[in-house]
Amino acid sequence: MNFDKGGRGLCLPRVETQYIASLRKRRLKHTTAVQRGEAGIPRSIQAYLQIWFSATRRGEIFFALTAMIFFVSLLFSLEAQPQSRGDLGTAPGQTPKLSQVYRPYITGRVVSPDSSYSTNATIEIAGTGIYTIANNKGEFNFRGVYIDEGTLLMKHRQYPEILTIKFDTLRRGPFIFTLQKIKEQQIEAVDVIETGYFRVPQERATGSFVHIDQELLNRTVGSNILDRLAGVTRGLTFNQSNVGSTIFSSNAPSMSIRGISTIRANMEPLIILDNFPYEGDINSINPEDIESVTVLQDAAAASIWGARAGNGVIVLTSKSGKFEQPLKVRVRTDMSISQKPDLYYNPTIPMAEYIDIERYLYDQGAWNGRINQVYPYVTPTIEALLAYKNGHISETEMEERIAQLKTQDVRRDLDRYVYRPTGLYKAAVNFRGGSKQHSYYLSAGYDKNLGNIEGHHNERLTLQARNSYRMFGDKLTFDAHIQFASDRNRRGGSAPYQVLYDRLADEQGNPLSIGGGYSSSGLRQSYIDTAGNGLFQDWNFYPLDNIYQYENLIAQTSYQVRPSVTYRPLDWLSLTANYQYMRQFSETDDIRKAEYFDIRDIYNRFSKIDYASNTVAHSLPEGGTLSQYANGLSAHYFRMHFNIDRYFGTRHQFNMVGGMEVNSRTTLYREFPIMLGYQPETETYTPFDLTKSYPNYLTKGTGTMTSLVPRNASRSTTLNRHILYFANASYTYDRRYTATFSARKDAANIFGADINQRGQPFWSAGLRWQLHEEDFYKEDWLSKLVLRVTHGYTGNVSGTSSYITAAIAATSDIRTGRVYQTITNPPNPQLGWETVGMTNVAVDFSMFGDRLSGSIEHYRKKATDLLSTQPINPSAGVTSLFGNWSSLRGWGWDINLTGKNVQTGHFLWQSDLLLSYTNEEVTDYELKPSSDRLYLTSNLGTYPIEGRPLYGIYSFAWAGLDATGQPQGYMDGEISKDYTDIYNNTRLDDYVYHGRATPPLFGSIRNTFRYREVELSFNISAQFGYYIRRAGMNYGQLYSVTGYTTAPYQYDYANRWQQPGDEAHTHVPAAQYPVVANRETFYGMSEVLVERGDHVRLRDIRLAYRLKLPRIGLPSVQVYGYANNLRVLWAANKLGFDPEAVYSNRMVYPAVRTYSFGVNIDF
Amino acid sequence: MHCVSTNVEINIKHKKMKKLLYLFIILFTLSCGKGFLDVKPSSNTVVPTTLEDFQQLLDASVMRYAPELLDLQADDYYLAPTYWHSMSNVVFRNAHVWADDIFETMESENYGWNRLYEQIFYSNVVLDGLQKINITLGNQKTYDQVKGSALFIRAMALHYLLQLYSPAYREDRADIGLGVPMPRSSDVNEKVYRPSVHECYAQIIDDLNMAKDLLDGQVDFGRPSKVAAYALLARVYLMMGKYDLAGRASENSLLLYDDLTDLKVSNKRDYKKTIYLAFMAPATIIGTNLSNVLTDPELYEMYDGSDLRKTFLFRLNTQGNINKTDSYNLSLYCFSGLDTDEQYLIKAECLARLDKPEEAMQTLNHLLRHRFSTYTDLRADTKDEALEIILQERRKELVFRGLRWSDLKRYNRDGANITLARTLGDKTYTLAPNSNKWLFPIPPNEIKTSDISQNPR
Repeated sequence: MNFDKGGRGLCLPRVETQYIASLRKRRLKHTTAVQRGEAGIPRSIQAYLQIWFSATRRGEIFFALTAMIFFVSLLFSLEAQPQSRGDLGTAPGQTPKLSQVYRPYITGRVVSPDSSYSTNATIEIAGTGIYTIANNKGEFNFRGVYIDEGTLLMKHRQYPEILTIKFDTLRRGPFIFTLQKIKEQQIEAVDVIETGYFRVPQERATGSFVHIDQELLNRTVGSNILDRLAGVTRGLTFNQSNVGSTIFSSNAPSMSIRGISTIRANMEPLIILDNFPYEGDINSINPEDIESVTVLQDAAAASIWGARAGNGVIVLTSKSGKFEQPLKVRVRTDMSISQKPDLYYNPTIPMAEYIDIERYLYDQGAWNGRINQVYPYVTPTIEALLAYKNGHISETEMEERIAQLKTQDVRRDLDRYVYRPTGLYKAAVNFRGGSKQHSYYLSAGYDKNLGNIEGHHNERLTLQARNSYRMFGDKLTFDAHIQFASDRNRRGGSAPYQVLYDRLADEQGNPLSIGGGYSSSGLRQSYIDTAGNGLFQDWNFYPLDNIYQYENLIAQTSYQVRPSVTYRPLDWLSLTANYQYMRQFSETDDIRKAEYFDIRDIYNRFSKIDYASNTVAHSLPEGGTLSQYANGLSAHYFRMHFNIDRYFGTRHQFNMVGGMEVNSRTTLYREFPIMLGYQPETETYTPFDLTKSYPNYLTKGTGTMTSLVPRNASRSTTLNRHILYFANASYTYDRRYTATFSARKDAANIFGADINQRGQPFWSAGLRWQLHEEDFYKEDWLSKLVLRVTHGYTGNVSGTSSYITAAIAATSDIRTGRVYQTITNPPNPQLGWETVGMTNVAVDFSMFGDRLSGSIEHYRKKATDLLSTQPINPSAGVTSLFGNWSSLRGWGWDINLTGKNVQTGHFLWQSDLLLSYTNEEVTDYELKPSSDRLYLTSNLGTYPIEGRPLYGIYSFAWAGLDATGQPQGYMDGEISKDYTDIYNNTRLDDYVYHGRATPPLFGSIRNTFRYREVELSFNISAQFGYYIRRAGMNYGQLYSVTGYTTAPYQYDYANRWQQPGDEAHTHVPAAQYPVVANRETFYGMSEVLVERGDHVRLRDIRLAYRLKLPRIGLPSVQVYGYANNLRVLWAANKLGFDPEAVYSNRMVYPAVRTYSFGVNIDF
Repeated sequence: MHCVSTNVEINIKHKKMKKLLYLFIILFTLSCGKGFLDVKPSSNTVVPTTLEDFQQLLDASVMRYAPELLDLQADDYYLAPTYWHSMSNVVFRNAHVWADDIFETMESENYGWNRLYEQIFYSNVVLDGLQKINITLGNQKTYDQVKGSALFIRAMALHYLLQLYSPAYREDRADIGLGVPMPRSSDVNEKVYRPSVHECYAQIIDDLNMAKDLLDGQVDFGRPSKVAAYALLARVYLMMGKYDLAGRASENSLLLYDDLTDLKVSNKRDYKKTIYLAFMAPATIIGTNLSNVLTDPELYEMYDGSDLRKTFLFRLNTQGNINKTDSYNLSLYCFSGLDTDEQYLIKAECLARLDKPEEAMQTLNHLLRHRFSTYTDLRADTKDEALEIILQERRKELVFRGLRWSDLKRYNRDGANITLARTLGDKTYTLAPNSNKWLFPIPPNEIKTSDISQNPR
């Protein structure tokens, strides 16, 4: 500091034009002041300064000007004159001490390291109204600032946040404002949240958002964007449709955000692609085109989506070009290989033992019924026994054949000849960039996925072009976005088997027959060998050939056109019109070739042999069959909205968006009659009447070809229309307090007049308090502390119409002969949206210098007016009504923590922990099943129980095996073996309730290690607190003569009760033939077969290395390896199975391990 | 998408911003036509909107069901004891012996309450739907016919409900008890209550008077007609004790249609010749065998040898029991619609009650000439004499027609003091004339969901 007390000797090198500009604004006022002030001492420095400025010639003034400012300023401050409106100078009431001398100017620079933003930011001294604009190089400076200390505010039109730097007497610059690129910002930095309607910086968000950025999305390699959210999104669970022997009701969601919010309506979250709901196939979206994903979790976040947001919203934001950015090219390609399925995963009865059981059944006469019918399928063991019995082979030959069968295992052949490792190949390239007036994004992607059986594969091609134009000095922006995707999915035949010891190929690999068919309606090998005097087509079934004789082709094309126009008449106001047209259509060809077994089978069955002339007459024309279906979807969306984004002074910030939307969505399904005698080469077929009866060779009568359904051409369409109004406003005061409010009103054509007119809006409100911004906040160790509270409502809808619907009766009235209609759905003008009210309380924090940061959220939700069927007063004319009757409540916690455990110059160890707890309870549901038994035997969720979660596991109480190996239960509190009584008459209260069938507590922990250019990360996920029912020993299946395909999977057979005393260490009942059906049912539903589902799993590992090759012009090349579905680290169940692949009485195997390798190149 | 079209001029000065903004908002809110949301969401369902749809709804089979509970409680027949003991439907079993607890653990009852309200619901659906149809010269006739039919069906169902669940109408007392809920719209959420019996009858009369003006004069057994409206009016007025109105209505109906089957010519009355077909389904009670429906020998003995109705209505089975026949060609079902014989009897009764015995007997004699193999006209000199003969003939003519229960209620109202009794096995059950059990209890699920008051029992 070289301050001269006299104010002399100071010299400024050059004049900043901005400075003048900022002063000029005040000219008039101060000139007036001067005129008044001429009579005495000017009342303000500003005024004094103005005198000089206006009175002196430009070229010379500045030396004097600056000097005089200092001089006068000092003069004033020495006189200790408090200034009421000191625009420039010391703060009111403050007197700088002479010892605290400082430079009267502040300098700095605005930088944007990756050129994402222009540097023309506005820099303002907080509370003064003084500002300057940084030049093209980002440089700025203030001159003559006689303010001891204060805050510089950097405002940027495109930048979502105001950056601040404090200055004081000692620190006057040069300061650097860094415009961080959004995605690279860490905890302290700003994430911009995309809601599909507007963007909001996380700093001003009150709601609960999960933002998955590009880096996290790129961590995994799948073709499906939603799959990439698994394990990295808090509160999000992926559900299975069945677990073990438990099947969920048909509307159970594939994924859920913060648990369940509905009972009968659609349970899937709403997917938004850019601005509009995405109604098409999610597989048509290439994850490489997605910039980020935002999951809207609470009401404040989602209520802008109103009646469709009850299950949460997932917003996908496409990549786009940037203005004033040089061309950037990114190429990504990777290849994944998955292992073959582990066919031996599910334990089975050893083949030798199983064949002995078959012989036992044969001896018991169980097969007699089938054997006597001459042609129905019997297993190879029975064939051998039968051949011996009929005197065709000797006993030794029979025993030899059976001994041979005991060594066979179809899984060996399946593994060798059928299954192959699957492969996924992906390539994507995109170009983006922009000039001052134009930005563009172009991309192309190609994926090819090879299934685990030959002939099963799908290909996807995606293309995208997006152009933005700025016109009239940025006042008008036009954006055009076109997306195109083409999917071709081919499925070939499979290789089914009849019994586990079937053999599919001989030593040379030639296909072998497993009899005449692959189901219980198949034909016996010894029958088809001789049937038809050699006049028939080959009647053998060869599983290995079957793969190639069938194909199902789905060709799907979808495109979206999305133009939008934004007009920005004022700095703070914009008006936008968006339109989207989306179309998706798919055509399915289902081709059965002439050689396909089913065709040969029908061909032979519907034949008539003339034994006299030894000729055969076939009914079915020669050739295969072709079935065709077509699905179409088209949708229009139109939205207009305004957007206000305005500062009032420096402390008040107001944002608002509001507008309306109209949309219309049509689906069309078409089905064509089956073509018979189809010749794929010429694409011709033979007309044939399937409704007529034809001579049947097997029954010697006539019959219709029931396995070839005589489909009529049919079509059906749906049309959904919505009109909606929305508004969202937020107000921030001094960066510390933010209040948000959001409202939306929906109207749809599925509802009757009442609900559309009554118009119950969905609204939300939220508050955010940035505690760490408060003056009194002194906790240095806790550098960020934010409290958020929100409350609001979202909705949900089912396709059920409130309009009356009727159906024309199939037959006319028998007495009047008249056609009549009956009402199938009564009109319900009060049918309305389901309402989900949610309260969310959250704390965001960052501590120990950002070493540990994260958030803790708690929510409670109340879903009311849920759609369900309920009995109503019969005087209404109907006895039950689908309406808004039920309710449930939910609650939970979401915690995410990021710890930078070790952070040195080149080394980083970071841990990301996600932990969620979600639970719900049905609070109102009136419809009861006709028998309590149905609570146990129906699919989960069919009969909700008040006071319990929607999906709960129940069972019969277990009283152990008795001394003879018979299972025992309870009836009226007494130990009972009356299985029929227990099965029919146990009341709901007497069932054992275990708990939820879906995990309430789940989470993941991801550890990332980075050393220089190498990065290693792995993700461990865990699920706790739920139950699964495994399939237990069922003698009904084991001893059923038609159950041979699944019977060997009775893996508990080895643990069965065999002798007195066994009851002490097993609960598997003793073998019993003939079977007591209800005993098996009781045991299958008993509590001993319910296991805890809790487990911990190593999801994936990723290793990446970034090569620096600056010399050959490749700025960045990243190579990576990735492996997922690695292994279960711990599971609570005693048997050691993967809870997502429970041992079952059929072939199951866990998700296969996948290894991937890829390259990412950025030019 | 005829919905939105805005022409936003780009070059608006800042001053004009406000105007633009207003324009913007107004266009947002107003530009959407109301019809945009009035389309049905799925093609695979019929949303009944046309006159043809409505006619088809009214042609539904369910519209012609009458409640068999009426005859089950009356004295036209009783059930074979062994069969009665084994009946699985507890409501029917209990109703037959006027048990204290009809429903036991059952919650609902489909054949009376539910089915009749279903008919009212269908009618209301049609009546509501008709309001949205523009009447033109071309469709006026059909429109009137459909509207009249809906009103008629609603009145018919309501009249049956009153017979079962409410006390007989008394001109002199409005406080005799509660009627039944009368939903007036198809909105199933409408709150229901029990109005007075008077209000209910007034509603029936209103509906029928409107219907008779709208309906076509041509009789069609499968659909309501002007004749049917008069005939039902006659029946309802008779039950109300308004004999002059009843007599006039029956006369009007007979003027339009007076076909009678002469039992000398045919011993079956084809249901296709009746005024309006409705039937009760004892089939649901008695399975597939009419031999479980037994007639009291006392009733059987009322018919003398030349009375052809003895074989028209009854037959003796091998065990010597008297069974019902299939007199209306409806196999197991009992005809309970409107037929001309009832109209003759109403007309005769009313004439008698209005002290015109001669004309009354003329009317009766015309009917009976079609009923006997040899018939000599009966004579009565006084009102009471005529009435006695006519009511006797009414008893004999209208067996298994669902009318006996109503007749018993009105006779007892007028002081007849009739006690019903039946013996099943070794137990005899009785129904005293002043018993609460003349009112059938409302199904418990109705009471539970709509909170209306239950009949005392």
